[in-house]
Amino acid sequence: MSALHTISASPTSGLINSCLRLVCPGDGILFIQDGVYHCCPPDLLGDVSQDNALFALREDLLARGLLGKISERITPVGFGRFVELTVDYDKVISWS
Amino acid sequence: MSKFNYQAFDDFLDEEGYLLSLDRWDESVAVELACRENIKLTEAHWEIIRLIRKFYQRYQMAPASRALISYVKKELGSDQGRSVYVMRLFGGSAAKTVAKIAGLPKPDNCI
Amino acid sequence: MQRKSLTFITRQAPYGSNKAKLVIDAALAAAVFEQQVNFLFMDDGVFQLVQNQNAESISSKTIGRVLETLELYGIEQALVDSVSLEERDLSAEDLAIPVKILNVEQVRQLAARSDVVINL
Repeated sequence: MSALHTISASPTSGLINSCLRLVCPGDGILFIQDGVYHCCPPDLLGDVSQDNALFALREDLLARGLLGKISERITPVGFGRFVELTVDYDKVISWS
Repeated sequence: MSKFNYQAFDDFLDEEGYLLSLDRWDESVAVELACRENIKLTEAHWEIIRLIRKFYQRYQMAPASRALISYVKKELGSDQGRSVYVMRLFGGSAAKTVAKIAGLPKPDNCI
Repeated sequence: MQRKSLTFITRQAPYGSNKAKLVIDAALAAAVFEQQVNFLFMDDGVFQLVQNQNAESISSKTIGRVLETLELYGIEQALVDSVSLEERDLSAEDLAIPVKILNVEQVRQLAARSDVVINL
């Protein structure tokens, strides 16, 4: 069963390392709230397999001045797509 | 002998009839609380009441039904460690009723 | 009611916040509803398992006492992430309750095959 992992705290939290221990091929990762600080350099997502889609909430990027600075691998999504993603994957695992 | 003036007894209970303060409990209080549940306490009742108080002392929480039955089974054996046995003594909501009579708070997660 | 497999991941140290207690309460509630419950200690959550705790000194309930009730609620086996133990220089002998230690792949499979994962 596929999972959408949401990460909602900044890289200092170390959440990405714990999250990646559970991530399976085909899972997605969505960065929200302070989690969006993972999306800009320095590259913190080098360990994430190409099998895993990466998303970030556009509103949270905008608010923090990061929208133009994010890595190309990351797809910005709005709230509507956020909701769709939670349905597209079999379950959501939230990291906070 | 009782610490209670029975007219003021209700002051020691919450709105659901659970004792507000654990250290107000003694056996005469249990008899009165049981009476309010239409239960006349026998040695079989006391055995379960003592056990649930032991549970509370050890685990610092009042057990829901499933845990109460597991604990009775562990401590007294499988004859008593069945929900039908405990329910025959204390009725359908046995975990809540035993907790109430034993002076414990209402168990969480009781269905 | 359809029986689902639920995995609760507890990742916080025991007394700094109420989160550790919240995860236990949620897992016990699920167990009362006869769901298939897995309970996994990860990250700082493994600190809940350290022996010889006595939280009376800080007016709290000792977490180990509450963890002992998992078994009585039919949550047969507590699971621990091996990496989290190693990161904190802990081993099975340091733990207050019997647990099953899972390697990285077992942890990943556990999450993958669960219907629901609650992670706090």
